[in-house]
Amino acid sequence: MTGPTNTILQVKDLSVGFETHQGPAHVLDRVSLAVQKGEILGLVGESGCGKSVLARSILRLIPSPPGVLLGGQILFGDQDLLKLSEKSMRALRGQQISMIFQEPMTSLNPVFTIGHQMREVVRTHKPMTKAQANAFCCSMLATVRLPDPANVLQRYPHELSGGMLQRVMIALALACNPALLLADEPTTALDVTVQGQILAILSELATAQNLAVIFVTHDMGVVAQLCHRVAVMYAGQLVEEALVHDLFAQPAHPYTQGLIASIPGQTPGQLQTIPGSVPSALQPPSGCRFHPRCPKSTVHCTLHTPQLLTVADQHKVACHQAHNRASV
Amino acid sequence: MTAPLLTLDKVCKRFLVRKNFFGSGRRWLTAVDQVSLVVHQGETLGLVGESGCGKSTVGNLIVRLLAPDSGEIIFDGRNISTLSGQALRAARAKMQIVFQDPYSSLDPRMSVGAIVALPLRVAGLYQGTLLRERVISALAEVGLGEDSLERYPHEFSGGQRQRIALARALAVQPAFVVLDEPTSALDVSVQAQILQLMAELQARHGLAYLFISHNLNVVRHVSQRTAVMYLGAVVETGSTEDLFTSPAHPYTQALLASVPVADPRQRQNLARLKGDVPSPLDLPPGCGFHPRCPLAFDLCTKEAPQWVRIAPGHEVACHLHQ
Repeated sequence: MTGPTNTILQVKDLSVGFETHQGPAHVLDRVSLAVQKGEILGLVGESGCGKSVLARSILRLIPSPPGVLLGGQILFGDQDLLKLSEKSMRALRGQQISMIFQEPMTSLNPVFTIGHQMREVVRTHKPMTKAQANAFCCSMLATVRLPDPANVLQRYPHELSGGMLQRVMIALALACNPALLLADEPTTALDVTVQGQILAILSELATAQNLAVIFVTHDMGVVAQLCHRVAVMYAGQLVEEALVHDLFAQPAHPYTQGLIASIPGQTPGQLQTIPGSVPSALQPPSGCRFHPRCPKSTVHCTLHTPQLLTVADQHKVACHQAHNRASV
Repeated sequence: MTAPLLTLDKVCKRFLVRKNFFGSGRRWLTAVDQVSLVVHQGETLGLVGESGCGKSTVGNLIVRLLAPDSGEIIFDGRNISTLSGQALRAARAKMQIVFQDPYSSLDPRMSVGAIVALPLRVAGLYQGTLLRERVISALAEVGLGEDSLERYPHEFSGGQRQRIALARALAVQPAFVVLDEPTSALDVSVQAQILQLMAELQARHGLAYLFISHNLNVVRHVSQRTAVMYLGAVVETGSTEDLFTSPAHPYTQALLASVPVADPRQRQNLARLKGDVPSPLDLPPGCGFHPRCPLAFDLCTKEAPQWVRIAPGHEVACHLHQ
């Protein structure tokens, strides 16, 4: 059991909204989450559930307007990231918390060489001469197993494949030995054999550097292979949180159950489906937000929002039915 | 066995690529290289491979959105590889295609009714109230009501748009549909609904599908037979069961081993292959897979492998099996 001293990041009751032409959209609704040192936390959910907004909120990358912080805290060590000045936030980004994105093609500037962009990042955070920075970048590229790093540094982004670019991004993200890495669907745009290479590198480096990772994905297969713990989001809320083995063995929330059952290729025969589609963030359903699609919903579910409660060791769920079963 | 509905015989397609802005230094990109496939009435053939392997080009060649450079495409007993104009339009009434991205495959300025009616008009099959009735019944088959006729694509979610695209493909009552990554843009819960719907429609109308996907789990779920493509060429075909349980080509083996299994009790070594797919502008000599193949030997770098039958209906192009 991990003690509270191992907690590196704690998100408390975070609510984030966006101003839209049709009125305010509540994209994150009182989300609480903690990440321990050295663990890979999977953050899963379908498009629009708020998982990317959560990851970006941690680094304060949500533009405002239209983004509006509606409440909550993000504790990194003993400081609340939401209260930091933009200057201290900038010093922290890349240095202590860094991020990799889904599209490595658009994360790098096409008109500068890889070397130019890497040196710029490294020298922002560390006092180094150009030659030192170059040597350092070479060694970083070698850790992500890019062949011929000196050559890669001289190339422009369009000359590299998606898999190579994502490795450059990982090397950049880990250049300053951050304590926390936010990975927002880093392998979604990649082919499956290349995805395998990237996941292997990420998991190796995370272990070697005792790095905490929040891995945002919609792929339950990736979660099962990579993560230690999983948080499931639905329509802006956290609906279940558990160790990866428990989540797959005993998913407690009907949404998680549906998500696992609708992965093709698991069992032959009919594919399980979740009827309907994800609700709009402009008008979320009353009570439990999953109730219109839930096979087990009752009148109670349509009226009352379930809390995220502990139902077993390190297993939390926000579902009235699951609470009744566990009698909490 | 009856004659196949669709046969591709050594189909090739190259594209001309200009090396620089001024058009000098022309080079040929080999997208599809000597591809032979058959699809029988009422079956689903899965076509898998990584991005850039030419699987979508194969789909586009079959419905003749592209013309092959060489080789033959026989559909329903007729060579359609050189058809054009009226004859091609008539052939297309029996084969349709559904694209990956339902956000760009539906004209935002056309109502749903007009979208679904268009292929019927082109084929000249129905008119007036009969046309309207046919459109309504096509929409009903995919679970959309009459109220959607006057609505526009932007009013629908991704899953519903893919239903509209399906309705458009099925309106002319084709015998064969190319499904080009039809669920890749959708969330997993919605994907399951669409896959279920496609299976129902296939059973009801005896449709044949070519199901193109990079998602091996999906292909395993939907297809009876599967073909694996790498760098423009088909490297292995077989019944889905055989191919997934005893893959013979090293690429198929690596591809299958790289798919993350949704079970944390079975942690895999996901990094099975090193490096990236080579550029189709500069194909390696011999077997296209040899630079990444863990089992490659001398011959692989020199000669392209021949097709070998290793079990009934299970064929592979690899020197290891010669």
